[in-house]
Amino acid sequence: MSYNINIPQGTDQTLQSQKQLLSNFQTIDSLFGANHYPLTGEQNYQGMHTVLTMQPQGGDPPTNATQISLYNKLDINSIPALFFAPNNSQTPIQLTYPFINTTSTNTQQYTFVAGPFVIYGGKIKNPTNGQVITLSPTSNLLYVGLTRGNSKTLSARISYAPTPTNINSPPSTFTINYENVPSTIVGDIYYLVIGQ
Amino acid sequence: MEPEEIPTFNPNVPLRKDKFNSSQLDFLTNFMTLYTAFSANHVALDATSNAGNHNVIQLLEQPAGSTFQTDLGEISIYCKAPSNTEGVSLDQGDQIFLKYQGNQPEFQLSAYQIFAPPIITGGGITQTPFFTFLPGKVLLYFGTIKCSLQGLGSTNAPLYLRPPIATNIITMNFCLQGNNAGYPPMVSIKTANGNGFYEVLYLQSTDLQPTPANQTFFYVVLANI
Repeated sequence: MSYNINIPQGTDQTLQSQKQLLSNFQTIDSLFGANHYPLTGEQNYQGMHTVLTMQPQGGDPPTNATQISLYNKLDINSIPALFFAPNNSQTPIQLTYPFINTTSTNTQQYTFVAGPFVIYGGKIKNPTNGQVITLSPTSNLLYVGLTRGNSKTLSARISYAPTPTNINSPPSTFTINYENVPSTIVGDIYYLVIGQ
Repeated sequence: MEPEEIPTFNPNVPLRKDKFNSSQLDFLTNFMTLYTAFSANHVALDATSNAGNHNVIQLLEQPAGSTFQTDLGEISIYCKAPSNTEGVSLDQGDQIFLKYQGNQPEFQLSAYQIFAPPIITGGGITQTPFFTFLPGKVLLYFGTIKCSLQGLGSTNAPLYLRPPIATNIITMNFCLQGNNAGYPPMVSIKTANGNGFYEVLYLQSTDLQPTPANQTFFYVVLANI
């Protein structure tokens, strides 16, 4: 039996309402137990949450002057994402990006910030002049910063600073450019890239 | 005298044999418990507006290793104390975790606590450090450092990572401040300390592109916790 908000009726016999009332109390107990500390548990924790399981919303919920909302909505690729709606129904902000790879043993990783923007970070070991770096997942690169590493390498110490060129040509790539150096080993390069 | 037992929610009332008279106390207890429980974190059931909305979301710590079913279309948010792959606590307190649709692997959304580490001075170097975090147990160290970089074979300028909890350096980036600035520095990373944490990077200029003395850099370093 499902939850019934219309009982007991004034005309109900005791026997008739008992089943419905019992069903309602059991349904409330069961449903409130999802995402919440159980009603039958310690009173100090009742009403608090164990997890927030958020169902996708069809649109952005309206907010008034003193409200904000956190909710799940499909992003432009139809993947569930966490959104923040500021007060007064201002433009919502997507808080999450559907992918993340921050395995510490990887030399190339990515995470995200609200927007969402993808933050790529990594190290290219002994790159060559003109080497094309392709970043995954694919995005439109908005910022590319390069830093020379492994400065104990003599060739690195006498090299010029690398610059990124050909950004997003082809998409989600940049090219490492050294001025006036042969295409030999010049030490490592760290990259910090922001894409959207 | 026995302490009075506090009535709690009873999902198994009324019994078939109960008369409404005898169930009245059970009903009252259940409705009061519901009202009180719902009032925690939620707008009260008897509020004139916004009933059912949340005022705050208090997430109770979940046991290490706990998992949640996250079906297609869903996102799960919960909190627990971070631990390493061996299950040893990282002493970060409770943090927020996310699990994407289809039971994808969880990842840590928040990390540690944010505070302003003290300014570091010494040896003609002034470093003003800050830090924050990014999803996936990534720390973002940033700030400024004023130093005089030397060329080949000279002493490097140390850039300290505070707090020293980085287990792996992912990347870094530098930008020079001011007019007549030279070129961005090269970097070498000292090996991790005895606890496995990277505490310091060393900056150095090149012979080809020397950096002016007392040059200030903005810096950003990404690291895994």
